[in-house]
Formats: sequence, structure tokens, C-alpha cells
Amino acid sequence: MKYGMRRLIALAVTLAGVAAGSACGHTPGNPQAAPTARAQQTRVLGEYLVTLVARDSVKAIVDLYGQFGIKGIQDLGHNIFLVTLTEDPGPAKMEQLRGGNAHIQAVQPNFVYGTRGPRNAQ
Amino acid sequence: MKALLRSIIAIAALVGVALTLLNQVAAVSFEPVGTGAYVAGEVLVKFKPVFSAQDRTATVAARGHAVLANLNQPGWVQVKVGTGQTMTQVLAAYQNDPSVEYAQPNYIYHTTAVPNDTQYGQLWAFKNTGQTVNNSLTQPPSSPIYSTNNPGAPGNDMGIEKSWDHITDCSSIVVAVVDTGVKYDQEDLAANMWNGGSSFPNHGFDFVNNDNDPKDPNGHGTHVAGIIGASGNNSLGATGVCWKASIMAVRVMDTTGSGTTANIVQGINFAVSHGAKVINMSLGGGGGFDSAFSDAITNAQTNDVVIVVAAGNDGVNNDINGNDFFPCNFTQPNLICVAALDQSYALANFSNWGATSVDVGAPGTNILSTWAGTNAVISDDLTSGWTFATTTSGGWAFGTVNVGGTLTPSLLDPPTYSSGQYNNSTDDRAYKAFNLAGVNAAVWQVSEAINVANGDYFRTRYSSAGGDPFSGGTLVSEDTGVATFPNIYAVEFDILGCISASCSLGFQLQSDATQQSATQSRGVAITRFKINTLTFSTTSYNTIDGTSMATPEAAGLATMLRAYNPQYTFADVVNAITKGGRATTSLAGKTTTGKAIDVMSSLAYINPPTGLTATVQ
Repeated sequence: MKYGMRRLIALAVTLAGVAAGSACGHTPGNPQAAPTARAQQTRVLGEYLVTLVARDSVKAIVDLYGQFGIKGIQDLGHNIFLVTLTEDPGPAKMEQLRGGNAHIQAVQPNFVYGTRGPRNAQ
Repeated sequence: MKALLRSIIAIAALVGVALTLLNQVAAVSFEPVGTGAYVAGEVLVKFKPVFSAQDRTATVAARGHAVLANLNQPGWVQVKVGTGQTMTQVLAAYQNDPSVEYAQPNYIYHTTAVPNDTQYGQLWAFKNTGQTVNNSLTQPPSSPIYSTNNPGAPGNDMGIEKSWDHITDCSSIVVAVVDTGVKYDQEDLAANMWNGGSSFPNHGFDFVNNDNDPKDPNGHGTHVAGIIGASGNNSLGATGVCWKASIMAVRVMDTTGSGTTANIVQGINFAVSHGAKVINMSLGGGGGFDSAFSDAITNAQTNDVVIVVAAGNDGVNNDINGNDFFPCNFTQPNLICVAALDQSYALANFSNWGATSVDVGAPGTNILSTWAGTNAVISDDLTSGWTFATTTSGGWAFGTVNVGGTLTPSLLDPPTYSSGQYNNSTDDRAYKAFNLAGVNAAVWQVSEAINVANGDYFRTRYSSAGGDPFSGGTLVSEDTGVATFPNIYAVEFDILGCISASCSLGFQLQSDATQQSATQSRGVAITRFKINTLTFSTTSYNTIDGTSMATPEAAGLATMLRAYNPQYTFADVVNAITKGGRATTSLAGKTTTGKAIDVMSSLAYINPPTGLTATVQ
């Protein structure tokens, strides 16, 4: 679990055949498979957008997702609420819990977008 | 110049008659005939097709006039009229003649409008003369510019100068820049910002900080705003597509240029509910289909708002599954997605494309526009000046890492990285102080490889008071259970709170007593360390690249079209841009239209109205 939102420059990754050593010399590395980090970096961990069927059912969010520790609920308008959780069960679990709930229309990750132009990508 | 429009009206009216017979009507979008200068003693007359040149000459002579020339359009002649008659009398006489279809003055045209802005010669997107775009105003100063096709091929531009004879003032239409904010007091933007009244005295809203001051600490949004509407012909800096504009600043992206669905959705809905009719979003991401974002665009569609978005800068085909780039890949009809062209109208090497997802191309390399201030870079070579501390042994050390074949000075923990393991039960710290006094924004950029086991932690932290940032200070990031080796990731953090004469930045590797595998506890390598700073200025400009820059060229056009044709719906605007574009070889098969935007062609494009029927009697 990461704290906050790390601003990873998604896929602006320097693929390194990393070999390293101390100032006294360097030792060949033993490269391993790269982690699939992109999926993590394109959403804010612990944050979800929940769309309610009606505004008066905010309690449904607490009832359904309270088990993960609710740090905050922010009204974004249009019946959409930004829900911040202490623990992140992942989008699949969030959707699974939503299934069949009469008060919650949709749940999705809080995705991350960028403005970055090519000049700054390194 | 309006004479041209009058001619177009006349011709279009005739075309309209013909189309009526085919149960269709062509709507003419140009403004009504007004007053204009014309050549005294001359008129242009169009005779009906059945009359020969000899007939025409005889008819003219019978009135005591003379044919000066037969124009190379069927039936049209230039006539020298006699003295003693007013223009109104002459025109009335010809228009009442059963052999004549139409008569008009011989209007006088002006040379094409060219603004006096000092950097206009650099704006190849507006007038491509084959000029070389230089880096005299780039940020940080004298940074490199896009070298491919610089100079490019003359004539490859947006065809905008002719349109400026018809319209330069788009201020009747509110255009929202949903971005990193806008430096609304920049000298070339201040006059063209949206009037938000007492509720929004700073011309918009900031959804990052949730206040009404959307000032731009990044620069990106300010650059976008200037492309749309930098004040034209004011003897300063840049020129916008619109010389006069009403730019709404909506900040949804933070200092590093990142933003979330939550902020963007609020930003779009704010723009729509406060009257924007065009929204520029030079942003994107590939996290998956984003329903909330899509719904916000649909809400804009419902409210007749055009949204112009960027194709993306990964140099890939957005149509391929896995390359989806949103919002470009959304399919609402009020959305236009824009690729970037270079100075020879080749697709820019970084530009995404997509035969079904990307609509048009526009200039996107070496684009000069307004900027938020002066940038500077503080680099550290990671070879000296750092304070290292550990509760065990070893800890952080200077070393080298082979990055792409180059031995690169780095901070390493353990010193034997990447073959060794960090210690159990250790608290290793590395930090260094930097002088950030006087700057207004700062972004800390680090390249790092991290292999830290679950329960052990790698942290970054800062302190504006200097010293050890892990004794007090502010936590910036915390990782546990991460294994990136052999990949190195670039990360960046907004360190606004650290701006001081002694900003201490540091790294910590803290482990528990549990023995971990060698792979999990390989440790951390910091291979690059930079701080990018911005000091606000009202006189800054920058020349940069990106589909982010191509997007506002099209958004400016959308704004101009709506200002010129107040009755236009979003569908009319999209139609005029996509149908009125210029066929471009590099975009064939790579966009839905195969076209680059062309301002004058879109302005002159006649939208067939929808929902009309006519009956042939």
C-alpha cells in the first residue's frame, strides 16, 4: 500500500539492464521480470467514484464499503461521490460488492490522467 | 472583404435554389450584407445563361454603359457605368432587367489581416513561410526544440490569415481550458479571460485546491490558453486563433500535470453549468473505460457543448486494444480528437493516431505561446553533499548503476546494490538541502528502482527548515512490498510546502526484523534527482510540442465558428471542422477524416441544415 498518490510518469520508464555497485566498482546485475506497474499508476489507490441511484442513499456507501474504513466521502455532483478508503480491496472486489445493490448504480476507480507533453517525458 | 461574402451569398443562394428542387436546402452561414467600399462607376452584372456575350454587350451599351471585361465565371461581366447615376439607381436598373440574374458593386478588398504581435513570425501554425522556429523564449531558457522538419515546407499551416478578415473576436463564446490552470494575469491573456463576476473573480475555479483561484503553477494550461486566445494585434508576444476571447480557467490538473477523474468530472460540469460552449482538454490517460468521465462528456453534449481533446503523445495507434487513450477514445458526437503535425505536415513522431478514434490533425510541434513564468532546473549529480545516517551498518552510499549501458552516479542502499540485501531492523536515511527561495512552484523529480519487502518501507520526505526531514518534515511518499528491478521509474512530487532557502529532501529505507529473500530486499537505487522550479511572471512565453498544443488550435477554431455562427449547434461545429479540413497525406488512414484543420475552409463550409423538407411543385 502506498501513501498518497505517487506521480509516476506512466510508462516513461527507463528500461535498465541494471548492473550496479558501490563507488568502488560495479557488479553485473541479475535482471528479473518487470512488474506490471501501469495498472497501479493509472488510478489513485484507495479512491473510488460511487454513483448513487438517489442522493438520499449516501448511507448505502457506508453500509457497503464501510468494512474497508471510510476516510472521506465527497459529493462531486450528479449523484457521484468520491469515496476514500483506508484499505483498498481493488476494483474487482468493489464491483463484486456493488452487484445487486439497489442504491448504488456504479463504482469505478478514480483514474489518473496527465497533461505531459513529449518534451518532458524522460 | 465582406464583398467576398456577399458573392458567396449570391452564389450560394443560386445553389440553394437548385438544391431546393432536389428537396434539399443549403443554409448560408455568412453574415448579412452590410456596407462596404466599392469601385465608383463600376458594377458586376450576372446575365441569365441564355444570353450570349453579344447580347450582354448590347444590353449594357443600350444603357450607355460599357463592358470592361467578361469575368471567367459564366454570365458575369464587369461594367463601366455612365455618370450622373447613383450606385443604387444603377443596381436597381440591372436587377429589374429580365435578362439579368444579379448585380452588385465591384467591392474593394483589403490585404489579409496580419497581427503586429512581436512573435508572430514564429507562429508557423498560422503562417508557415518555411521559417526556422528558434528557442529564444523556451523554458527553461534555451532548451532544445523539436528538430525534425524545422524549418518545414511553406504553406503547411492552418489557413487562418484569410479568416481573420472575417472574424478575430470570439469573445461572445466562453471557451473553457480544463487543465493545470491559467496564468490569468499574463500580459497576452489578461484582456481575454472570462468574466466570472464576483463569484469567480479569478476567471474560473480550482478543483485541485477547491478554491476560486485557478492560477497555473505548471505552465501547460497557460500555454493552451494562449494558443486559443492570446490577444492579437496588441504588439505583444503571441497571437491566438482568436484575437479576442473569453477564456474560462478550470484547474483540474496539479502542479506536476496530473489529475483525477474526480477533479476532471467536476471541472467539466462547472464549465458546462457556467456557460462554456467549447471545452479544451489537452489531457489523457489509459487506465480503462471511465464511466464518470464519459457521463460528464455526455452531459456536455446534452448542453450543446463541443469538447476538443488530445490524441496523446505515446506515438501509438489508439485503435489497438490496450492502447485506448481517454477521453480521445470516447465516442460521443460532440468530441473532436486531435493529432499533432510537424512543420511539414508529417505526423509528429510522438503523436498518437487512430483511424476510428482520432479525427483531425493540427500543428503540434514548436508551438510558441504564453507561459506562467520562468522555469529553472536544479540538478544534483548524486556524488557529493548528501548526509547519510544508519542505525546499523552500510546504509546509503554513493555508487553507480548501469542505466541503458551508461554507468550513472546514484544513491544506493545497500552499497552493494543490486547484488546485496539491505539490513534487517535498520533505519537508513539520506538527505540534502537545496535553496528554493523566491520560486512559486517546485516539482521534485526522481528516477528510482525499488525492491522493498512487505513490512519494510521506502519513504521520501521533505522539510522546509532544512536538516533531517525524517525528524519532523512532511511525508511525500511511502512504499512497501514493491519490486521494480530491473526497471527504473521516474516519479515526481509537488513540493510547494518546501519552498524556502533551505529545503531538505530525503530518502529513508526502514526495515523490520524479518529476514526477507534476496529478491525482495534488493534495496533502492536513486539514479536521477532534479527539482524543476517556476517563478511567476506576466511576460513569459514558451515553445513546446505535443498533441496538447494541437488540441487548442482546433478548440480555437471551434470557438471562432460558434462566434461567427451563433446559431450553430455542436454538431454544426464538428461538421464544419471535420468536413472543412484540408486533406493531408500523413493523416490518411490514421484519422477518421484524413484531414488537418483549415480555419478558412471550415468558416466557409456550408452546413446542410437538418430536419428540413421541401416539396417540388
